[in-house]
Amino acid sequence: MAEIAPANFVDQSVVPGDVVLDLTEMANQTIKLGGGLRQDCDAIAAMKAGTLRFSRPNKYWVETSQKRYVPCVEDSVLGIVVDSKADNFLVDIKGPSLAFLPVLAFEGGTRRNIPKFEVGTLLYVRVVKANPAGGKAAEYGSLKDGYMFECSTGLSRMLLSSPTCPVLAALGRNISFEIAVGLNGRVWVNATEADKVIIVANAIMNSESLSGVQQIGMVDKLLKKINDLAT
Amino acid sequence: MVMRQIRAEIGVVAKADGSAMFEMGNTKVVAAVYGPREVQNRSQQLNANALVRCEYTMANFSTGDRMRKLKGDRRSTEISLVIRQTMEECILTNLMPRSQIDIFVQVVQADGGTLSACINAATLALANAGIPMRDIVTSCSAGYLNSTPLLDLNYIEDSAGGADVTLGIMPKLDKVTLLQMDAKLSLDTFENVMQLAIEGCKAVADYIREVSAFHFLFFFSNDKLSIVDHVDEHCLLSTYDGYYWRTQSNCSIVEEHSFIAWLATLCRCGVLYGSKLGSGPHLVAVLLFWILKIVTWRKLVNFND
Repeated sequence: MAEIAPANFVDQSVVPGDVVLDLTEMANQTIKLGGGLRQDCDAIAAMKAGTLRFSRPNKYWVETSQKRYVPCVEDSVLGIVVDSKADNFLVDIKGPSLAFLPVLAFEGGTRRNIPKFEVGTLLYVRVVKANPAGGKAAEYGSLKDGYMFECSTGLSRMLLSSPTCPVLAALGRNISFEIAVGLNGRVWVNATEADKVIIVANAIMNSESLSGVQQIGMVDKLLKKINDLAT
Repeated sequence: MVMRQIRAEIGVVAKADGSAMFEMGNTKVVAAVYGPREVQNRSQQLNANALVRCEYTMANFSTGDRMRKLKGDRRSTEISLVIRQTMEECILTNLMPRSQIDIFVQVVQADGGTLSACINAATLALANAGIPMRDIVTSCSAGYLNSTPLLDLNYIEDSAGGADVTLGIMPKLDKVTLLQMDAKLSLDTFENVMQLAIEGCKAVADYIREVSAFHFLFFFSNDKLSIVDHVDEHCLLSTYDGYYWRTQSNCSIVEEHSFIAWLATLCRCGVLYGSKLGSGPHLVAVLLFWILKIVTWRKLVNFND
């Protein structure tokens, strides 16, 4: 296998199998490997297709954006109720398996006083336990009205980054809306009128591959088009 | 040796978690991957690994004569099994226990080498779906006709009676995951043919790497866009909004939509539909691409300040 210097691959796109680090030339260093990387004897290889990122002093990971979600503890996600069993609800969070939402996780919830969620209710929940077997979810609440759409995991991470993502800041200056972003690629938007909801949803979906400046430009163009149509 | 022209597109099936279309010459194949998701048949659930299922079908209109019912016939079942075993080798199934990964491959146009095209398409679709893999699997077929080793046989060469070796390798790990042959070959001829197939697989792997890197330029865009052409890391697109020339640098995208992009599209289409290399429209297209590259380069420089 060829020796690849780390600098060559950082911020480059990698494909599964690409050797990104050769440990023989980095003795006595501790490296932290994040998602998408795997150790194979003396070499670190990528498992997923994405962009390799490096953060000082020693963290490497592959930034990927997919339609499928990998559950991690303490992630906020949007789930849809699929089934209700005796002690818990089964919630679909777009992951490898369904999540359990214990009935007792609700405030004022007892065995007698089970909150009634029909199949298909949209919930905003937090992942409490995520072993490969399945995730348990603790509840924040059900989301009523509004509109839910799906996007990629990369876009949801960007929407939740701080400081505020440019597209949300630009939209917030002109439209008042409520938004819940799940790290599993689902976004819920609510506003006073339906057309505002659609504008916000379209702006977010369009901002996937744009940079900050472009996002603001795109939002301005969109709002201008709407105002032109209105007058 | 020269193989047929290959072309790939990622993200062709909107509903699937990952999908790809792969063409080798006239053979076109579409692969769609769903997963990892909840196992649908509880009895088949594996407690330590993910369950990989694969289905290979040929469309009725894919061969010269229209075929009748083809799903579930013996050849399809065998090829489904072969693809499943090949892909299962490279997927890290122990990371996703109790889940299921479905790979659906359909041949849209068949002209020899369908198994290879299916494996290549499945690899791209799995990478698109973000399923952890040890390495990509690329595949190519080679044969021996009239005392000549041939790379990437089409239907006519395949049915001429010589041997047909299909090889699937993991290029970075240098391991063979699939080796299949019809007919007979002497051992030294086989060595030559296999070496040729390995080179073909490595060429496919380079192309797949290029396509994956390039995919980030327009991934998940909701516009109805079609890519007219791409040169290195730039691409010429047409959307309902206009014509764009897109460049990626440090994961930000610079777009230049203009008259120049529209002209370049026209010239490129002219080149595609008949004019020869070196003729008028081709030279004009090359010139326009250079102008676009310079314009976006200047914009990038201003951008990064």
